[in-house]
Amino acid sequence: MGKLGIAKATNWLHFGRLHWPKSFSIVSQRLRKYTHVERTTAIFLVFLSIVFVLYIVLGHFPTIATVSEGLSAPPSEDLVKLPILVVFTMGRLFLAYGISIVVAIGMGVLAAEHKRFAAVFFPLYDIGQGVPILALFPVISLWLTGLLGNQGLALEVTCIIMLVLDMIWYMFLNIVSAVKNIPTEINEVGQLLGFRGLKRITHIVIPSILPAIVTGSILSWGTGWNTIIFAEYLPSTGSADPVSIPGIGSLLDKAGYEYGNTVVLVLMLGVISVLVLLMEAFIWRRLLRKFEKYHVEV
Amino acid sequence: MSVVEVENVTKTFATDHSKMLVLNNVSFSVENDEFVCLVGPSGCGKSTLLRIIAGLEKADSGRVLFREQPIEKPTPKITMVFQLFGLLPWKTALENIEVPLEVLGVPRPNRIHIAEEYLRMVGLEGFETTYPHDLSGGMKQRVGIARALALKPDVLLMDEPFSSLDELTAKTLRELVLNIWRNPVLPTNTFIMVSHNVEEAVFMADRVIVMSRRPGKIIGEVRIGLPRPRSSYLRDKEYFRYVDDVVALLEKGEAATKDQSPISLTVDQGGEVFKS
Ligand SMILES: Nc1ncnc2c1ncn2[C@@H]1O[C@H](COP(=O)(O)OP(=O)(O)OP(=O)(O)O)[C@@H](O)[C@H]1O
Ligand SMILES: [Mg+2]
Repeated sequence: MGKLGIAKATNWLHFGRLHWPKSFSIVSQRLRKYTHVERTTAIFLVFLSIVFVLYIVLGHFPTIATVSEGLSAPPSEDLVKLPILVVFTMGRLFLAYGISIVVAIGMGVLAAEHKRFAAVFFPLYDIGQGVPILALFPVISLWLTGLLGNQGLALEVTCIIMLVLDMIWYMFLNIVSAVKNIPTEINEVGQLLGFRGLKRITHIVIPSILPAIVTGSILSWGTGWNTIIFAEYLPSTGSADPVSIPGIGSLLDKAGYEYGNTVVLVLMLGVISVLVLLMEAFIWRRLLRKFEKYHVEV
Repeated sequence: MSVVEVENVTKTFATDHSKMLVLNNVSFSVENDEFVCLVGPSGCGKSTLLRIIAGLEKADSGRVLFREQPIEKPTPKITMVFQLFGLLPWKTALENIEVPLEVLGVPRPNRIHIAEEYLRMVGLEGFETTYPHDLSGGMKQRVGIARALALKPDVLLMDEPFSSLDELTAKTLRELVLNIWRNPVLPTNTFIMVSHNVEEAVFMADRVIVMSRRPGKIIGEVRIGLPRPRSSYLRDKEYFRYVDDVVALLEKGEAATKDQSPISLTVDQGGEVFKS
């Protein structure tokens, strides 16, 4: 056990061969080369900079007292609901991602292969990328509230729409260029073997562009996190109270804007970072590693 | 009866500002049961010719007939083996053979059975679930051959199928292909192979068709009269005489185009053709 157990566990978790984003992997490579003393110094420096950041945010050094004070002040009572808040937020993100990926694949393949669709989708892309999505939030939510008659539901739907409008474009662009870059060899094999219509899409086109879909997805999720933090918490135009839907984004905003509770704010940032890293480790890196084999030798 | 007839095929590719004549009035025909090799200098349009026969490319003028019908688009009756194998990296060895059968509408149990059978035939039993990434070059080409044959074509086109393999593997695969060609159970018995290697062509073909430097046209052909199997003739005088005949034709083609192109063609002792 001991060392061996940890090694096994990291291996099983794929942390051992994990390719972090470049900066991370450089850090870990460096760390591996360091001696014990150097490693301790490095970790100490990282710890120091975290404390420094907290110092700037809090205005004074974080002490156990300030932390426990923060954890007992509002909106910390919401912290017990943390697991369910995570589920809500992730649920919205996954739903929006699911819609985005289906629509992006459809639009991307059509735009890459037919000039007529490209003539419609690229202007849409320019608008979609250019217009600040969050500015549309009040408009859409007011309209949906009128339509659905239920503010909570309207906010949920608005949130999903915002996320889709935000997440779709990275994937769309990546898919278009990936479809255009399918090696002629592969297209020719498909043609020779008679792949046509839907069979061509499922057996030839989609597998070819899977790596691009993953990289597009990573970018989409990045911007998705950004958007959901605001989309869950809308400083409302009508009533005095801000309206929000339950989630970690809205809790973060509440802690920040409403109560100025930095401890909860930093905690929520930590939770989000952990979620992002877990997705990176368990989904994206694994998929990328799997799809590496799909590379066509030419 | 001719299975494939190439009639006055001419092909031009448009490059940025100019047009490049690649095939110049090429005609030949291939009989049933025949093994024909096309040789010619690099870039003379051999692959283009094969792609036109496969229906992947259209000739500017002239036509290709398959059993007296013009070839307009790819058909399962004529399949192709690629130099770089052309396998789908996201499919296992078995799936690579099976999926084209799915396209033809073969029901699933049948096509799995057929795929397994052909995989066994090329000696890859036990590699059903292996992805191309994890197969050696020779194994990949075996899958490529099995995939083409599983469609039960009448004509098999091969574009330098062994040139990316090491010599030992290539030798084994040449024998495999010849066995398949001779196998009376398999419906595929007309083979057209492009080769860079004169010795390989003489070893395998009934007839070697020689093309000139671009714009490719047919200079002549050598009928190889060596009895089969030919492995015992590889050191024979007669074998080398055929090699010399083919090389002589290649040189003739070179001389005819010499005034157009300053690049010369050299032939080493083995008879392989290099661009110098
Ligand atoms: N799709 C294309 N567009 C433009 N030019 C092409 C195209 N395909 C082939 N060519 C050109 O046509 C010429 C003949 O090509 P081809 O591949 O048929 O030659 P080849 O005899 O097979 O050569 P090699 O022995 O190198 O395989 C080459 O100069 C090539 O650059
Ligand atoms: Mg070629």
